[in-house]
Amino acid sequence: MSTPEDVPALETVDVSCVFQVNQGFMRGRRPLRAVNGVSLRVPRGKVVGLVGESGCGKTTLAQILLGLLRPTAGDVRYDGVSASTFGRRDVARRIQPIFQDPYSSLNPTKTIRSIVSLPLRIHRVGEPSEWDDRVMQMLDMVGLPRRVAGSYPSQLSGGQRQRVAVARALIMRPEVVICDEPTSALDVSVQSQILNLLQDLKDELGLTYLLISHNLAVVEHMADRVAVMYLGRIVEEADTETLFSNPRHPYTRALLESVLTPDPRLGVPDSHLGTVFPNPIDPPSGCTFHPRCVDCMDVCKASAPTTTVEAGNRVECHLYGGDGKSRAAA
Amino acid sequence: MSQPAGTAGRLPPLSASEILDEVLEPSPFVKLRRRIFRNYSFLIGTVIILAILGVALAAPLLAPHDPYEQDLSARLHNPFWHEKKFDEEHLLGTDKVGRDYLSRLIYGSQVSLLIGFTSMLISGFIGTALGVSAGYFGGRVDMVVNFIINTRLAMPVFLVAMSAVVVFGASLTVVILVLGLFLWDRFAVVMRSITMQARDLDYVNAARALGCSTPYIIVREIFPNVLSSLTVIATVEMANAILLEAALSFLGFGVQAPTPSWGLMLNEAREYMFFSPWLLALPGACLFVLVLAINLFGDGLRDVTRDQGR
Repeated sequence: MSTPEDVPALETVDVSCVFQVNQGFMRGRRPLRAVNGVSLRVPRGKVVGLVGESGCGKTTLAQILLGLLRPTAGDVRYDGVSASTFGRRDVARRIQPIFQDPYSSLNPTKTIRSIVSLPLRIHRVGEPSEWDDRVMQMLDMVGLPRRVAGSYPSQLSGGQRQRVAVARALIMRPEVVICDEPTSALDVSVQSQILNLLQDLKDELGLTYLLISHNLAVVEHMADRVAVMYLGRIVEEADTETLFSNPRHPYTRALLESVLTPDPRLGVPDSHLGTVFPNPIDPPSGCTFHPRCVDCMDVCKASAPTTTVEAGNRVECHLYGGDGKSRAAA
Repeated sequence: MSQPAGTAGRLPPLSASEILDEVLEPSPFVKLRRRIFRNYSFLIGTVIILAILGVALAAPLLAPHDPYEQDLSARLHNPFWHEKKFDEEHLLGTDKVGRDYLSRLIYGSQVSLLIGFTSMLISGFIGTALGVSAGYFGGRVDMVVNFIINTRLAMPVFLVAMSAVVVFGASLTVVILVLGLFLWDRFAVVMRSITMQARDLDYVNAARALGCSTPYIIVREIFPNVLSSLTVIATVEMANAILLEAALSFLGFGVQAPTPSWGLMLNEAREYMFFSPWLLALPGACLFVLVLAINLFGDGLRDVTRDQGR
């Protein structure tokens, strides 16, 4: 039934990651469910945005996808094949990260040439004599002058450093790139340059992106599909247009309402997310979002909602599906 | 993360062509060189250390006499600033058995530097290996290493050195081994905390995501970044080892006579403290200058390499 085009480049099936957290001296350990049963498909050649507050598990999920963390349950699949059949190095050739902070993602003691060529050296791609040419091509591609090859990261600006990070991620031509907040550490003026660069490189090299961000404008600009994450679960997933025009989950609505507008008369928007982010060690009962939800019902405190799929878009909320239909219709 | 003032001239948005024209900051090495030549304590320390090192290496050429050659007819000659009982042969006089004091001081620098340097190398290797693995792996490894560090800190160096001398006999090798096997605690503690910080930086994550092996990450990615702190502790520990050697030799548990060691010379001159005070003052001054120079060098090095590459 499934054609090769249907097989997503990257897929997680019910992935969970639980950390045992020390509670302090003599108080034993308790589990922290950083990622709790996440199923996410990143189709080939698409950009999937992943949004959510700080601490909701976005970065943990990224680390699992990169093979840096082993999920405690569930399966990660590359091209439909379970990750457990791949070695670390195979994963590295398929999927590469771009990190948030270009000031810490480049080793300050290495030259740009050495940083960008590291993937080639580690994986022994081609002849050592070709490596320098490939580094230069890569620098051209990301819009850096070739002469930066001999300089150190401390000599470059934030935007230039992020270009170096992009060059390092792409020199092996991976299929999937995980961009973990690729612009949030940069000046506003440089952010759009990096986003346009990522967009151009995607078209040129046929890349697939998982774009992790808490900046909704960035996600709306880049992504084809958007997944909204809350406390380790994906609460809504839809294509970008639907999600931004017709957000269904109360959390998604609150996120969209919280976006600042340039008009000062409108003041600071009220997102209704009054209470603080819950402690992930002690998640609320039932639907974990209920203490902050404007549409909270009795059933939300008692039981966790199930996923409702409608036209390929899914939402996890009692307002939709069987148990909350009457309320949603009202 | 913050850029130093004066380099913030990049506010307007840059197009690709403008990036080409942007002036790069000077390379870290150029900056390092500038800071070195502004740091007087580093320069002074380096010059004195190099001078003493040169004296130690060229000892056979510089020393006017054999440091072991006794001449009982020329005992306790005064150095050159005394009119009385001074002869041109012995510029800094002679000790109680008539050995040329200048030659013994010159050869003594060999012992101090040899012991300081080798025991620093041994302890640096042990401490760095323990500290870096504790910091990188954390968890159980960290617990074990912490236990070893605490065990080491509970053992008094002097008592262990004395019992080692009783068991193995006193010799240069025993002193070097005892100091080398005992002064690694500061290396371990500092390397552990620095490695812990470096481990969580994104360039380590990037290297892991590239499929680099753990030894590669530790040796090639993390180690160059902790090297400057390592050299600073190394200088402090070297000064420490030199002082400890002098103290052990003074007590008779270190280098044995007739080897010329500054600590041992202090011991031998004890009884002449009131009548020939220079017998104590000269080796004491040598120790003082050497340790001061090493500390100046270490302090300067820390200032020079601070925030390097940021």
